[in-house]
This record gives sequence, structure tokens and C-alpha cells, in this order.
Amino acid sequence: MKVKILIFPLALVIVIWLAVWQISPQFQAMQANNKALDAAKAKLDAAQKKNADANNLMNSFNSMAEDRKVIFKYIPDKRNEEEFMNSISSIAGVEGVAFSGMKLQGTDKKNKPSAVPEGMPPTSYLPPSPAAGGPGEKSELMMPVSPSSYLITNDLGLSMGVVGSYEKIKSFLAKVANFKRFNTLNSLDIGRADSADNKNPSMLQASLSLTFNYFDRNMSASAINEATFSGQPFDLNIIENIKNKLSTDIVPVTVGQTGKTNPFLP
Amino acid sequence: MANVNLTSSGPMAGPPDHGTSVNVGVVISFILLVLAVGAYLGLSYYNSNLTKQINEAKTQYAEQIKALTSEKNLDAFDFQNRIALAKKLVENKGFELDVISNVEKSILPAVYLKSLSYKQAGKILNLSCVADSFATFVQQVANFKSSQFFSDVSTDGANVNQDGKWEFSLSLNIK
Repeated sequence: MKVKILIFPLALVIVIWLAVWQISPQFQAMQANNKALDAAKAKLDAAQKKNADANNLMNSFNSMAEDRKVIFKYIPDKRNEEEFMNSISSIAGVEGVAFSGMKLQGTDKKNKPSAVPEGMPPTSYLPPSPAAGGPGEKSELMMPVSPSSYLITNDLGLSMGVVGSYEKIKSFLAKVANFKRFNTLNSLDIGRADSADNKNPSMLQASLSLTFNYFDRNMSASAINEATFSGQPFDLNIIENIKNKLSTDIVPVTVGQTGKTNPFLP
Repeated sequence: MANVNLTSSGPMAGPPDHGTSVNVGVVISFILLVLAVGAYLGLSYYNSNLTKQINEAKTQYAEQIKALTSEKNLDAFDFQNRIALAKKLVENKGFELDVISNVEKSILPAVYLKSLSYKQAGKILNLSCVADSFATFVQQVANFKSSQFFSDVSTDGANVNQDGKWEFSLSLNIK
């Protein structure tokens, strides 16, 4: 009988102990786990949607080999400065203006161009895969990045001088402006050619400062953003624009015979 | 002596039945205990299940990310980024040709250029010109000011050169 009397308070104590020290923490853990599961599912759903979009992009990408060439010529992934200079030289030759010099200015300068589409701020990014030198599995889809790390091109400066008539210089500038590799004119100075043997008053000298660029592939891979996964196919209008607006072809550098027994022999 | 009978003559209330109360208490205790243990075990199981689901979701997410950042996908993303870059760059092309074209349109026949200097930063155009008379000089300034293409046209005056022509400089901002 005495034992039975003790059972009720003892059970009550056990119940209270269970409720306070076991059930309540479990309940709180359950709430936290529910939230964590929802978050994990949301991230998974987002990743699955992005993968589906990426697959669609890949299908389009694989079917447009020619269009890819157009874009990669316009913004290459390497400097290819010899190709750029060779092309400018060829344009000058075709347009009948004489070179008075050409110089690459400085080293590569990383630049966030004004070309970053408005209304498309970087909201997140995916670090490159381990193969691309990135942290890979530690990646987070919604990792914010500063705008300065978004679509950064490597810019190269080129200063040059040409001599010719006004019409020829103008035609040369038009051809450079319509060059199929991106370039922009920073400054232009045109004046009369200052040479002692310049008997022709219509002969002008033009000094140009150009910028051209390239976009490193690893940099590009680290600039994956929400817009990349917009579910929209590639914007082919820009490729048509380049094809239609820009008519001056890139002139590849062709190397002739190579090798010399005495490299110091003129 | 009066017989005082303190014994109740009515029905007697029996002593409280402690045994029944204790039994009820034991049953209630047992039920509460079972409920509490059940709740604990249920929550524990549910939590372990949730943890398992979270881990599964995380594993799947990691697989998705791995697939997403595969080399073949990066090619497509890189292409997408190049397109985004090219979009604005193409739109702004050929502006310098507009500058030259508008100078051609605005220059007076009795004026010629000695030099032209264009800076893209700030869109500033500096012209060094020669006019055949002072009147032509001021007409030229007025004509540039009336242009829809240029703004903030300014000059620091004109001087007669050794040929008797009027030399002057103009600074123009491009709208």
C-alpha cells in the first residue's frame, strides 16, 4: 500500500522530467529540423531547376557551333593580341593608310565593363567546380558576390598612329569600329602630318588609343548568376547583331617557314 | 446520571477508501507515463527520420551542384556570360564615327580644321579651326551651338595668323 502511494508522485516526477528535459528539447529539435528540411528541399528544388535549365542551355549550346565562334571571336578567352594587331595592320593596308607605330599599353587591366546588363545584378554565384580550381562541393547557390567580381574582362590598351588622307583615315576608323573583335576608341587625335617631306597638305596623321579585351574562362565560370538560370535560351539577337553590324573580319596570323641555324644572323 | 450516548444513531460514514484512490492514482500515473514516454519515443523517431531526410536532401543537393558545375555545363555558362557582355558592347559601337560625321555636318565651308581631338572619357571634342574671317568664326561657334549632337560649346576667342586667317579653338561636349 505504501509503495502504491509513492507511485503517483514518482510517476509525476518522471513525467515532468521527461516533459522538461527530454520531450521539450525533442520538440524544439523537431521544429528546427522541419525548418532545416524545408530549407534543404528548397535548395534542392532550386538546384534541380537550375540543372534542368542548364541541360536546356547545353542542348542549345551544342547545336550552335557557328554562333559560338562569332561570340568567341568577339570576346575571346585569351589575349590573342597578335591576332588583333595583325588584323588592324591588315585593315590599314587595305584602306591605304600608313602605319607610324603601334604599341600595346601596360599589362592586362581587369575591368568591370559597362556591359553588365542593367537590372541583372549579381544575386548569387556558383564557385567553379574542383576541376576549374574552385571549392566545388562547398559551393552554395545563393552566395552573394560584389558587383566588382561580376563579369570582369581583362582589358588591353593599344596606341597607334596612321598617316593618310582624311577619307582614308575615316574609312580606316569605320573598319576598325566594325571589327569583329570588340574594341573601343578611347581617344582620337587627327592633325596635319608633321614631316619635312610632307608636301601634301591633305595628308593627315591620326593617333588612336584603342582598348580591346578578353574574358577569362575561369573568371566567367565564377560569374555564374541567377540570370544564367533564368530558363531563357541564349539571346541569339546579339549574335545576329554582330554578324550584321560588324563586317571587318579578323585576320588570323599565318606563320611561314620556321627555324634558323644561327638566330643572330640577320 | 444522565446517560449521554455519544454514539450516532444514524447511518455511519465509513472510513475513506484509500485503496481505490491509490489505484486510480496509479492508473493515471501509468497513463501519463505511457503518454510521456510515447511522446518522447515518437518525437525521437520523427526527429531521426527528419535528420535522415535532411541528409538525403543535402546529398542530392551536393550531387546536383556537382552536375551543375561539371565542365560541360561551364562551357554553356561561359557562353551565356559572353553573350551578356557582348550585348552592350555591340550597342555602343561606332560612336566615334558619329562624332566625325556630325563635325562634317556642322562645319562651315569657309572654315577648316587644323586638328581634331576626341576623348571618349567625358565625351569631349576639341577642335582647332581656321576661318577666313571673324564673322565666319562666330558663325561657326553659333552653328555648333545649334547642333543637337553637341552641347557646352565654348571658345577662348580667335587670333589672326600669319596668313591673315582667323585661328580659334573650340571645346565641345557630346550629348
